[in-house]
Amino acid sequence: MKSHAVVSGVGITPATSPRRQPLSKNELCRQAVDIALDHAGCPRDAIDAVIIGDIAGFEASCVATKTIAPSLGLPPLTAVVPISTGGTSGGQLPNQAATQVVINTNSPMVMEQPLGMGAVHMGAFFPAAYQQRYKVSDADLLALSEKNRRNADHNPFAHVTSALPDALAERLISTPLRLGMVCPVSSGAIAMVISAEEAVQDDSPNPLVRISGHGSISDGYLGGKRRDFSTFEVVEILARRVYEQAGIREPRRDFDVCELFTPYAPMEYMLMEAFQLCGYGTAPALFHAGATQVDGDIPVNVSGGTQCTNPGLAGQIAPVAHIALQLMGQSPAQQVAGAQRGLAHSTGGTFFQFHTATVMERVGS
Amino acid sequence: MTTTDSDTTGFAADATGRIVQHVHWEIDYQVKLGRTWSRFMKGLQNQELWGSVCQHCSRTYVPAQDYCEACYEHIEEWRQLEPVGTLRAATIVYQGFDGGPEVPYAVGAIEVDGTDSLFMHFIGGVDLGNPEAARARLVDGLRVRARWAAERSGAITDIAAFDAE
Repeated sequence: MKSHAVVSGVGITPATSPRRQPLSKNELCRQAVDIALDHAGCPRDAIDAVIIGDIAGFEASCVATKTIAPSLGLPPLTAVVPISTGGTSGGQLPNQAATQVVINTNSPMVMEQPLGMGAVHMGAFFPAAYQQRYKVSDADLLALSEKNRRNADHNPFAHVTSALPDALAERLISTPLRLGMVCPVSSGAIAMVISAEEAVQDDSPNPLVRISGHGSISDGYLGGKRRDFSTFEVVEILARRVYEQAGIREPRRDFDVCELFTPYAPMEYMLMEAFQLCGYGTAPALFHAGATQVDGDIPVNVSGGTQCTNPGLAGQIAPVAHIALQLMGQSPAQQVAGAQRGLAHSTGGTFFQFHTATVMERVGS
Repeated sequence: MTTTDSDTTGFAADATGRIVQHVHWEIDYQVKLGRTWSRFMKGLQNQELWGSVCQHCSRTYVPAQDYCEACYEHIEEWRQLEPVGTLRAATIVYQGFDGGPEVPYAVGAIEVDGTDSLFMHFIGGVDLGNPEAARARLVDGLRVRARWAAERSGAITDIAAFDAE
């Protein structure tokens, strides 16, 4: 019988710099799984399948699922599914019916990498074009990154907070990006328990959070395959698809809280617009009016966002985990009062070619 | 691995005292560029810029590619292009990466005249010593022209940069 998928448990480990992380990768994953199962009140033998995300070659390993899975203490014959779609692997995990079709026949290694373009430089093209098109100032970008660091002050799992000295935050990396707008490399793990609503509705210790819409989308792989860096065109297409599934008609009114994957702070403005929380070019005004603060009408990145904490794959699933906890009324960061419905996004690829979106709502709302 | 600090026992250790071992992964491999990119790169070696044109929707691509991003049809037609165009977006790099070019340098997305894609490359001919003045020049609309490298090997760097006109 058809049943909704619900989030019934979330486990987040504190994020640190890799240097300050006392646990190995397998130990970290085990810790996150233990917390999530305990949170869900779910015994290990009730788990039917484990989906483990991995970015091949990101570390000196390939198909890390092979070593992570045995460390999780699962009963014999538990199904294990590795997902490796690069930067969106984390976002794909809760969107378990991954439907991404990647048309990727070009290698960036010979065409763009020799031109001095690393991830942060590619990421700088978007805010540069956005600033010029919509007359957005450097101060608008700095203020946004400061908002997120202040939010991170309240999130015990955050890595960078407002303790970051101003002089460091303002150091120019690649115009218009400054250090304070760029995510750190963090170490941490996140696990989530996804259940059939009918299987857990009678004895869940937490309010259940239904996944009411999810999807993924790809853009052309080389940077130059987009004609315009001032918008995330494919995200608008993804948003329409996912909103239709979830019955979202007016995103700004319908969502109570949003977590958008923003390794570079200015992406928050651009994604707010692509997700139709506001019109193109109007996100800075919405931010300055306070609408995206925790007590505003459309809070964005209350966790502090990816800009403050980016433990790779766990960073991609983090938006989903934080929204689920917000909707349970159990946010470890500041709680958005009465949050019933939320949006989580992740993206990957150095030119943000790949995106996932997940709409969630509290069951019974 | 993130650290090479040694503690008193002689092991490399992290800030929490756990042992950190150094793992070195050197990846040395060859990428076959195939029919379309080989022809494109050979053109650069001869100081010629070639694009591919979709015979179904007339879109022109630089770098050349053998399928159309818009209609997914196979592309077989080629067209030589004047190596001039218009800058659409750019960034000036002040923090590079190991093995990368010396900072500062500028990279941009160029709309080569007569094409429907953007071509990523170094942007030259602009003084990067003053970041604000350089940013003000490196904006959408700047006309640029390719400057060929003195030594060419059939690589994307056979164009040294697109210089501001």
